[in-house]
Amino acid sequence: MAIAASFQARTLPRALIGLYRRNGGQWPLIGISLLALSVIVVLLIVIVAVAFQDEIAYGKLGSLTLENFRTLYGDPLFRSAMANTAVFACVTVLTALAFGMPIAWIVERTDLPGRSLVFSLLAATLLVPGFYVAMGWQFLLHPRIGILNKWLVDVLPIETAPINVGAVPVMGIIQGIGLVPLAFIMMAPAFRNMDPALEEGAQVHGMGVIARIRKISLPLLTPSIAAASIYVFAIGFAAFDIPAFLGLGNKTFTLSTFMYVKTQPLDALPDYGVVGSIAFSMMLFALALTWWYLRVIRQGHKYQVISGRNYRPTRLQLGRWKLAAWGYVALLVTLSLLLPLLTLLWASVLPFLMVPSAAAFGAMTTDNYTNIPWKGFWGAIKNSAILIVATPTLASLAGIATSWIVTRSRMRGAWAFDLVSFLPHVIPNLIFAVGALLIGLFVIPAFVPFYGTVLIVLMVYVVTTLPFATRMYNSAFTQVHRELDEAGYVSGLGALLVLWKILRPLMAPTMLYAWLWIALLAYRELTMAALLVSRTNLTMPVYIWSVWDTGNLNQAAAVGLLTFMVFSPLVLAYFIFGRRILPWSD
Amino acid sequence: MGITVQGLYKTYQSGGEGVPALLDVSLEVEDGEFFVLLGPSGSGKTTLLRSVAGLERPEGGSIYFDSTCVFSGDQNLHVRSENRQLGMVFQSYAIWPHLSVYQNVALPLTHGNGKIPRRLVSDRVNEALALVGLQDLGSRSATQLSGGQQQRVALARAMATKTERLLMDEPLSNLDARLREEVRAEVRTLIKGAGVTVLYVTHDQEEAMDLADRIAVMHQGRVLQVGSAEELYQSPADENVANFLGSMNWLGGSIGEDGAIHTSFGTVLASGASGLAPNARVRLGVRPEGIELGDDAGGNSGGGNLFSGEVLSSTFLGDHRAYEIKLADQVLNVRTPVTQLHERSVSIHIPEERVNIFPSDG
Repeated sequence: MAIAASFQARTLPRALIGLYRRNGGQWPLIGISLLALSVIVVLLIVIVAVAFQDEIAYGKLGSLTLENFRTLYGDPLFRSAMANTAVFACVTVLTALAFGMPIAWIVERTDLPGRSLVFSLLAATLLVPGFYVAMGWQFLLHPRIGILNKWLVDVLPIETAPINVGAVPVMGIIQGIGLVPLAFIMMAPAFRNMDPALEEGAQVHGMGVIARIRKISLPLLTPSIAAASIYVFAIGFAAFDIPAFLGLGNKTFTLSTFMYVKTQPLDALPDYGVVGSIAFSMMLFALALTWWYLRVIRQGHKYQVISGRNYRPTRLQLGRWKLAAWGYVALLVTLSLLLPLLTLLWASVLPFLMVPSAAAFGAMTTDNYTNIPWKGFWGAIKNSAILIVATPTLASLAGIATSWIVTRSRMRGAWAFDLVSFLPHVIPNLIFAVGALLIGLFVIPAFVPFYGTVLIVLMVYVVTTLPFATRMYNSAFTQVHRELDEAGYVSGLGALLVLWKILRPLMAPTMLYAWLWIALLAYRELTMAALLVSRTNLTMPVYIWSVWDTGNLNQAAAVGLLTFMVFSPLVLAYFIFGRRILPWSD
Repeated sequence: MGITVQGLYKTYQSGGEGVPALLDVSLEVEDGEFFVLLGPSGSGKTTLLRSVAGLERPEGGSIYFDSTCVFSGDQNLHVRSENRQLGMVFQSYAIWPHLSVYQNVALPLTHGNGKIPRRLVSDRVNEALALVGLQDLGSRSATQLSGGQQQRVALARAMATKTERLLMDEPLSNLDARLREEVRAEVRTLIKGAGVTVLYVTHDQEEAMDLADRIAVMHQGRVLQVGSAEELYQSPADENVANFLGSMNWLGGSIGEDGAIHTSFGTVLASGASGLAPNARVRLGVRPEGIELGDDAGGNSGGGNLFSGEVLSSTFLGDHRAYEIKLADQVLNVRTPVTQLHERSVSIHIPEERVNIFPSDG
């Protein structure tokens, strides 16, 4: 032991000095990046440690066991949650494809007038938090009070509500509609880049439209459709907002909501070993999906017949069909934005939910707004505002440092920085929140103000948004000619001065864009906050949810809309300054 | 102010295997010398320059600036680029696009290795800009400039710090032909006047010959030959150097007992043949302008190496005339002044001292 200790004591400083000497002015960048990346690693390690231990208590290690997994997989509720999740995620994928694929084709391969408007509409869909849409649909399709259900019972010869918003497939459809922009962005390049000559070749040889699509276009598009499907599935299987808002009320669980209720059971102390084993299982499954996704992407390259050669994309003339095409886009916008948000507005000015009628208009009131418990409201607004400013700032700093190491430093092992910084994109955010929860409870001593503060939420937000930052900065760095840095070095500017004097001004648009996008993510984030938030560090989305959870649905709608207004400058800023590209289009 | 390179090694990782870029490269650039690294792409010349700049880190060998070691593989020493006190002109010019012309030149003076008191910066920048004829464009955005102007800004930026060593990486290759000659002339007068030591990379032999005090020809990571332009051209060390600088007629033969060289078209005498073993196979290299043509009727006007051949084609190329001439089973390329016009049969004279002899592989 003594030998090992002295060995470490001597080599560690020497290693650090060596690192400093070799990397010169790079050490602040390496330090910042290492700090962020070690948080990621630690969060994941804690989950593994907790999942495989029996008795967990602060500062104590239990013995290794598989008992947690045995308990978990023997729980019938968990098995039904797995089945629900499978159905939910599959329906999500099908819905996202059902809208995303035709719209990608319409935008990329037809002469539809006003195509660019479709992009803006999809971006708008992205900007509205999923739980707003969920609340809207609850008002529309609640089995007892849902407006649409009531109306259908009136006009159709049926006695009971035809659609239950809490049913797994219905939740899947609502989730899927929200993910259409993502599916669109992932498939559009494949539609755009397909050489029309391949289809024309089939046409010349006498194949009709249907045969051409079936035999030529679809097979060529298969890899990108498959990749988009896996990607959407990975999001769907860990989604929280919609299953939480719509499913928890009637005890329909998916994996993420099941894990959530396990962290805050009503009748007993939470069994964190079991929570850890759910998180570990989800982590493994997510990694498997990623592996599959990367395989599909790699296979897709086999089909790349488009390299380098020039061709003029010919667009199908829609003629009279353009009305139908716009109709389909309009349907999506109605389902994903207009209908749920208008319903939310409608519900927020009524004492209880009513089908629109003269009586309903007569009963309109501002009580839901004036009776908001303002103390809680402003407290949550304050916390959210802190997170909206601090998250993108810190994530950008860590992102710049990491991307610089990955793209510029030529440091040995730079690939590891790339890999670790990408993990939060692959592993569901929820898992990191669980990790932070466990650290807050079992690792960090209680007298350190961490658990129950904004700090714990901020830490998780920063590492989970880091992949967005690194991906944007990776491409920003690659777009700046390396010789521009090198001219700085030869002129005698060190790494930090080159970064500040040369790269910062050149990457300013990316910085603004990345900051705004991550700020928006922090604003809409509910999943992680739900696990980490207590009375003392309430964020706005969780506050809305808590009002919702107590059954005061109409007031929750009012709080939601008010929140939206408070933070609308951010959304506006994004549309004015940031709407360059959608962030995950790589 | 000299640069000494000793036994430099560098490999690149490509698809899992190391591709050698520099193989035991040694050079000595003297104080105030204009030294050109010449070679085809992939020859390692840019890697060598970037190693001197400190932008690449070789695996072995050493680099000295005068007696100061800036890189040593053995001692694990690598002085970072920003501490090497250099000026450099890049192939892409690397003009910082967010800064004005003035700011581009000023940045190394305010924040870099040429740091001087702030009040002196503007004089120094204006002086440098005046040197390259851009004194009126200081406030322009650098991206509004033409290629030639950007090139001048890069030069002004590199020289404004009054560095003693200037590195230039194919600085003229992005300019069109006419501009290239113009800027080349400026580079020559400006830099030679400043008395700095220059290490200059190019693949253009004419540029190299025009600018260089000495040239190092590089090929596949090695330095093949170092010398003045004339030495390299007239007595190349091997076939790669000969082929890279100008063109060459290649003739096969073998050394006879008498020291003369036997070829398919007769016996050739060469001044360099005496030291070679009899019966060795050799290749003869003769420059197109080293061959003299005469009217066939002249016959034997004395001296050896006189043959008769047949004119296959004759092309007027403005400043000279190019012939293809059949000599037994060989075709020779010959250049003559435009005033010489030959038809059909000619006599061919290959002066002894114009024949370069190389050992033959097969």
